[in-house]
Amino acid sequence: MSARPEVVAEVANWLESRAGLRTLTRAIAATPSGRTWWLGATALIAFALQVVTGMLLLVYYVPAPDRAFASAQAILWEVPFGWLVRLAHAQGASALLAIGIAHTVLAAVRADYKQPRELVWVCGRILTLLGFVAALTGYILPWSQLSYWATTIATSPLAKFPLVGTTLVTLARGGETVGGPTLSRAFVAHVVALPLAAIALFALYGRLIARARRIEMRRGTRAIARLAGDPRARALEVSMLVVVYLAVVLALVIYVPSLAFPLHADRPADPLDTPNPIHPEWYFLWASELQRLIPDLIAALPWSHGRLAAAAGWIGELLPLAIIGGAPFVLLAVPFVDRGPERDPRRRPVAIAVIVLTLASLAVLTSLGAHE
Amino acid sequence: MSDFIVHSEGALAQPVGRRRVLAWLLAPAAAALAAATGWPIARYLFPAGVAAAAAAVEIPAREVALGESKRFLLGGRPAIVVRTAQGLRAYWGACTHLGCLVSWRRGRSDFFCPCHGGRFDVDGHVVGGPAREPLAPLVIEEIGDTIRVRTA
Repeated sequence: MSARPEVVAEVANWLESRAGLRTLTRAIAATPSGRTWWLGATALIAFALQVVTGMLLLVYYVPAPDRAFASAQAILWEVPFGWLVRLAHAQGASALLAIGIAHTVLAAVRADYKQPRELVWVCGRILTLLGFVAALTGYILPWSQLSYWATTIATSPLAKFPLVGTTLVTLARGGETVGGPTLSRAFVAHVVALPLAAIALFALYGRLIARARRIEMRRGTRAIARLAGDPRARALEVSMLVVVYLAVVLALVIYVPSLAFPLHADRPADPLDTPNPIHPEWYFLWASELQRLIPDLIAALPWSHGRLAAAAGWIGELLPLAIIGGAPFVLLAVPFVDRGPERDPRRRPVAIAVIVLTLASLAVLTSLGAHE
Repeated sequence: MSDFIVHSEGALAQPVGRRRVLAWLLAPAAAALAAATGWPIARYLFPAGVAAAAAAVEIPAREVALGESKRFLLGGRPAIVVRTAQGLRAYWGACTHLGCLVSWRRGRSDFFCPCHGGRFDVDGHVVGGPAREPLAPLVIEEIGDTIRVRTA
């Protein structure tokens, strides 16, 4: 560093005096952090990879129903290293959701939603949920059989809303059935609206968590793993995270490419043929299985036949949808329901039991759904 | 903040009052503007001309043999016709649960939805799975060697 020509140093100083970037990076590096700051940082890195690979895909992708499938196939088979970009985007999406889920579980176990962190949790959970919305809206873009029917299934529950149901479905699809207008709407959401919202929320998250940590330090309520980081040490750690994350995504691309290309993803959308069998991605298997399991369980009950058959039908259809649609709101309400001051998992048996039961149910449903 | 301080001191009360009137005027103006722009945006996003028009399709009778089914588009929406021992039946093809297409299973004489396992009998009634509403029927006329299916 000392051998740096004077001109470079002068330019650097001039830049610093005008932009103050070094001061900013120092301030960020010096923010006190918890032991698992790397998990959130990895989510940001994963999002950044989606932005980069997504922009590269947009160079060749055409968002029109008659050309989307062909352009997505061309990226895979004709564009040099197009397979790498497309697979990295698809596997990166899975990885990003896995990180979001892990982050949610960890925050729940450690009660990182209790004051002063209520909004940190809400912001983090909205980001995770946006990840799921991005997964859905991205899924439609290649306009394959899977795209078409996954979108049909995902938009149909809106029709069950009383009075406004049909209007909501028409608004979401841009028509009565999934078609070209649906593709345009998903494209705008996936490529413009969701990334912009995510960037804003990541920035807000950084601000919220820095504020919460300062309050915790002042009160001495929470151990801080490290008070002030050396910017270079922090830069090194972040660089290592980037390398490790890229290595994981590359490993997924090389060793399990089929994860990103399930059955029926290689056939263009056909509104006259629903593939059989059809499975959602791993992160929605639980929801799919819930819709098979609950009606079957209810039908097995003795009182579901006689006079209460109509009621049993209602419950069988609407209960799974209510659980799936209500889950995000339950998640967002957590900080305002569980408000006790205790954060140690060993002294929160009820909260931990709820978390374990939820995870166990999701695991069982996912496993059943995978073997359906 | 400084407005409130000035106001509490009693001096220079007039500019504060003027500002307050402006603030009062601004609120309804902003609400009116929001409504004036919100409505066009909502209309812009809501697709035009989605009202389902009456439609009819003619299918050669030989394409639907006994026990066989055929899928076709009726006014842009998928539909299905099946010839059973009890005669011809035609329904909108989408499962009433979440909209996947049902297929006729000859061996079991039922309509099956692959997405969540919904099942309907030959008359469209739910016999299993998560669906609650029956399949919506279409009108059929068989004239000579042509099957004519139209919306009810």
